[in-house]
Amino acid sequence: MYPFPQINLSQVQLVEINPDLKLFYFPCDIQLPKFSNSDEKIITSYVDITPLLRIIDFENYDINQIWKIINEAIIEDRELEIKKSLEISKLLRDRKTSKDTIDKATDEFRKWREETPNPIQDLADNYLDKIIGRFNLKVKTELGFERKEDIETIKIQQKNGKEIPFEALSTGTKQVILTALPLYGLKPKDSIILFDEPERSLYPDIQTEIVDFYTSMAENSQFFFATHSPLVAASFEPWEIIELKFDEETGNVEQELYYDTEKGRHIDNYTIYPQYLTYDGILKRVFDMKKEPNSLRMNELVKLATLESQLKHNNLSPEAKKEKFEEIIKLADQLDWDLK
Amino acid sequence: MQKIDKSKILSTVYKKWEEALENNQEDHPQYESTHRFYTDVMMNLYHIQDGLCAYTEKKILASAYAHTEDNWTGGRYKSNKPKHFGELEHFDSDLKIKQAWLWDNLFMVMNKVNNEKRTSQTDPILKPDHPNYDPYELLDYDYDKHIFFANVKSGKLNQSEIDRINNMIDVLGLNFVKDWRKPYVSKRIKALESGVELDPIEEYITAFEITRRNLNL
Repeated sequence: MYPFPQINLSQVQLVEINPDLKLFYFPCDIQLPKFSNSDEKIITSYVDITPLLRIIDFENYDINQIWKIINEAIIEDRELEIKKSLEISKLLRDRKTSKDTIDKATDEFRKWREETPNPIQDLADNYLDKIIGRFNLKVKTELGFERKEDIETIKIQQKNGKEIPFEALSTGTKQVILTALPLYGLKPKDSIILFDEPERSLYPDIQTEIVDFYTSMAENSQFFFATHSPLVAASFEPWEIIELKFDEETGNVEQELYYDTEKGRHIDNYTIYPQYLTYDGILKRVFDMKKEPNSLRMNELVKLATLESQLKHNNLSPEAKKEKFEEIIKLADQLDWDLK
Repeated sequence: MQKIDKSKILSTVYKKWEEALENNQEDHPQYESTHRFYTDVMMNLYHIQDGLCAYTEKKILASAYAHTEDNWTGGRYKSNKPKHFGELEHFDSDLKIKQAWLWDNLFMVMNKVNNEKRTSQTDPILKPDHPNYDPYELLDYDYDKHIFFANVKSGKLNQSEIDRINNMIDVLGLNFVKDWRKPYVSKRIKALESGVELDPIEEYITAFEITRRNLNL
C-alpha cells in the first residue's frame, strides 16, 4: 500500500501514466448472488470517470458473470492439460521414442503444471481455503466436466466432501467469497481498490487477517479500507491511517489532526501505532473508548481495591483474613484481573 | 477530587443577586445556559478550580484562561467565552428546581462526567467544598488499577462510610477518566522515582499525591 491522502477523483485523474487504471469498489453489503443466465457484460456496473479511469462498482454484481471468467480459465486449462497429456501418450505409443525423450516430455509437463496451477486449485489453495478452511469448508476442486452444472458456479463443500448450497453459508463466508471471486477473476493490476467495512460478519480472528488476504489478490494496487473494527485497524501502520471524526461544533465528519508538541503545530499524519497495541489499547487509543465498558466493572474494581487494602492494612483475625483473601481471589478471577 | 475553596468571588454582581434570593427565600429563576449570569458563574468556578473538572481533575479549560482576572470588570466577566470542555453541574440535582443558581451547589465538570452522572443519590460525604471534606482522609488511590476507592488504611471509616464513599466515587465519576489519568500519573511517578524534574503538575493532583505518599516517594 502506498500513501494516498484523500479519495479524491481529481487526484486519481492525475495518474495518467497507466491507461488501464481501474478503481474497484466493494461495498460493505454486497448483495447475494443473482443466479441469472443473462449474457450481459461481465462487469454489470461501471462508470467511466475519465477516459483513463473506470470505476467498477460491486454494489450490484452477478456472481455468475464473474464466475464465467474463472470458468473460462478452468476450461482453457483443462483443454491444455488434455492436449499435453495426449502428446505424451502419443510419444509413449511410438516405439521409436527414446526414454530420454519421454522423460523430457513428462518433466516438461510436470514443470508446466507446477508453474501454471489449475485455476480452481490455485483459487482454493492460495486464497479462499485459507479463510473458509476455518469454518471446515473448502472450494470444490474436483470438477467432473461431465454435466454443465458441474462448473456452472463455484462449489463449496465441507472438508468431508459434502457440498453446501451457497444460500446455506454464513453471511461472513458469503461476503468473503463474493469479494474474493472478482479479485481473483479480474486480477486487478495498477488499480485502486476501495473496501467498505471488510470486517462485516467475520469472526475476530479472521478480521485480523482479512486485509492481508485481500491485498494479496491484486498486483501493484492501492487499497483503501473504511473500517470500524479495531481488529482491522490493527493491520495498518500510522502513515496508512486517516482517522475521520465528527467535529462537535460543526457536526461535519473531518479528518482528525494531531498536535505535534515538538513542531508546535497540528500535523496530519497519524501518531498512533495500532500494530504496537493490544486490542484493548486500540479501542482506547484509536476508537476513543477511554473508559471501562460499564460501571458494573468499575464498581467491582473499586470493591476489589477496597478489599485488597483492607487485607493489607487492617488488623484482621486469621479467619477474617482468610475470608477476605478468598473473596479477593474470586472477584479478581471474575474481573480477569491479574493480582500482584 | 481536590478540596475546593469557593470563597474567592470574582462574580460579585451575581453573588449579590444570589444572596438576595436566598435571604428573601425566593425561588431562583429557571436554570438555562442563556441566563445573564451563566458565564460569570462558569468563569468564576473555572478560576477557583484552576480550569480542572471539580470531580475528576481533568483539565477542561486552559490555565491561562482560568487564571486571568483582567477579564473581570465591575464584578462581571467581560471577555469572550473561551473554548472549554465543561458544563455547569448541580451537585445536588434536587436543588436545580428551586435553587438553580445556588453558589454552594455549583461546580464546573467535564461534559462526559455530567452526562453519565446519576440524578440522585448525591451524598455530601464527597462534596468538594464541604468543610469536612479531606481527600487524603477519605480517598485512597490504587496505583495498579488507577482508580480511587475509600481510604480504609487507617481503619477510621466504618463499613457504612466506606460504602457511601465508594458509591459517591461512582456517582461523581471519579474513575471515569482512569485511562487519561493513568499515563499522566504514571509518568510523574516514574520521573519522581528516576530523579527527573518535570513541569509543575497540572492535572490529577490528588491521585498523584496519594500515590506519592503510598510509595513513600
